[in-house]
Order: sequence, then C-alpha cells, then structure tokens
Amino acid sequence: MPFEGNILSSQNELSTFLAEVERRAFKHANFATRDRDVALDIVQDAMLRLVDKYAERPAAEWPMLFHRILQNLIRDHFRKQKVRSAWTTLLSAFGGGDDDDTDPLDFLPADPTKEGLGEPVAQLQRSQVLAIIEQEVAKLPSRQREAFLLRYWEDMDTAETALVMGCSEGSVKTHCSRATHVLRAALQAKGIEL
Amino acid sequence: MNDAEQHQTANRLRQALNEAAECLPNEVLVGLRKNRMVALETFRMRQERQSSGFAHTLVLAAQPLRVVAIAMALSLGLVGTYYWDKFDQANEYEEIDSALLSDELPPEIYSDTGFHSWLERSRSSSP
Repeated sequence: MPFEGNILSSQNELSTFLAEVERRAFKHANFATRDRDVALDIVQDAMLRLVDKYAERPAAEWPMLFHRILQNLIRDHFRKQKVRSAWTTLLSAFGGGDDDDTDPLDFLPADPTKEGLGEPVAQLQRSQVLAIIEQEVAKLPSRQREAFLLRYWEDMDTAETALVMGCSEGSVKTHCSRATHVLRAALQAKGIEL
Repeated sequence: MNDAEQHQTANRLRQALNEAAECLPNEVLVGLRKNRMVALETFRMRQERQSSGFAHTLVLAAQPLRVVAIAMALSLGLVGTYYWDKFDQANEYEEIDSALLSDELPPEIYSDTGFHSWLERSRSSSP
C-alpha cells in the first residue's frame, strides 16, 4: 500500500535523524545536569516530543526543533529541581540535625577515565584530555555552554542558534566568544594547548 | 583572541567533543538506542492511528451524502405524488365537465336554488 510505504520512508528518515543526533543530545543534557540517568530521560522526552509534535514538519527543520525542545527540557528540569530543593530545605529544617556521618565523596561518580586503564598510555592520556575538556565545557555558565555547543558543535549559524536560544544574534556572538575564551584559558591553565 | 583564533579554538574543541561522543559507555548507548526505539514505535502507532482516522473520516464524510440522497429521493417522491394527484383531479373534473355538457339540462340550472329544493322534494316524495 502506498500509505504504508509513506509511513516506512518517514520512519526511516526519522530513525536516521535520531540516531545521528542522540549521542550529542545526551552530551548536551549530561553537561547541563551531570546526571547520566536524568540526561537519558531528557533525551527520551525530547525524542518523543519531536515525534509527537513535529514529525510532519520538513526533515530540514528537525535539528533546530529538536535542540529547542532539548534546551527547554533541560531548563524545565532545573526549574523542577529548584522547586523540589526548596521543599526539601523547608522539610529538612523540621527534621534531624547534622549527625549524618556519610561521606559525600562516597557519592561521587567514578572517574570515567579509569575505564581505559588497560589501554595503551597514549590512548589513556587522550581520554584524560577529553575528560578534562568535557569537564571544562560542563563548568561553563549554562547560556554560554548552550550557545557554544549549538554554534560550534551542532554547526548552526548565529541566526539559528539565536532562534533556538530565544535571544538576539548579538547575544549569541557574545556568549560564544566568552565561552571560547574561558575554555581556552582554563585548558591552558591545565597544560592543554588547543 | 581574534575571530580566526576563536574559530580555530572552537574547531579543535569540536573535534575533541566529537571524539568523546564516540566513546560513550555501553550502557548509555543501550539507553539511547532504547529511547530511539520507543520514539519510533510511538511515531509508527501515531501514523497508523492517523491513517485509520483518515479512513474513518471518509466514511463519516460519506454519511451526510447518503442522508442528502435519501432526502432528495423522498422530496422527488412527494413532488411526484403531488403531480400524480393533480392529474387524477384533472381527469375527474374532465369527466364532470363532459357529463354536464352532454346532459339534457343546461349547466346554469345547477346554480338555481329552486331546482335544488325541487330535487330534494321529489327525492323525499318518491318511494
């Protein structure tokens, strides 16, 4: 049936797009939230929202729409977290004291660079450099990071980035310039030359 | 840092980020694949629902047409019956007219009230 053929072709197109964008989308969410599970949930929601609301739109519009959805979901996550933490603070004021003897360091995630211990030294060094770069990207103020990643990683032009971020092109340029400066300085301070 | 240096730095960082994105842990890759499958399944179900919805809309669109056709047939029937009755009535009038004209009595006599009362009287007196 021609209609079934249509469904299949658009499904393939959508599948290709999602497969292409999913890793970077995860990184965007992970840089912002620094929580792997939350990042995966945000990517899932972004994919579902794209499929639900914009699947009929031309495929050329998907990258911009997807990133707009993704950034909105990341912001929503922080809004919810803010409300939740406000309630937690309020409730903990009525709760127990500071007799908790758990060490916060126990909850720190394992260093991802340690996964490559058995690999050659050069590869380990490279993975350490990549981890440091990612840490520095994650440390950027959220708007600067958003602008930098959309503009230079997602290869969007200034106008598209401004549209996704809901700000002016001038702001995008400023954010990008500051982000690049900060990253370069921070990496140089750690002995990484770009 | 000028524009060219900024772009150069950004390009190197992009390469590093791409490289890092290629080395995602396996459980993340599995999670992302699962996310994609869920989204595609949702898309497929949605498309199927829309296509069946389209067929349903066609059936619904045909429904008023059927109603209109029935209403038109009924109207035609009513108009036909009306004209048929008119023909019947015309035939009756024709018969009456021909009977009046062929009668021995002149038609004016039927508008004479004296003639009516004579007819009544003669009917009641006859056995």
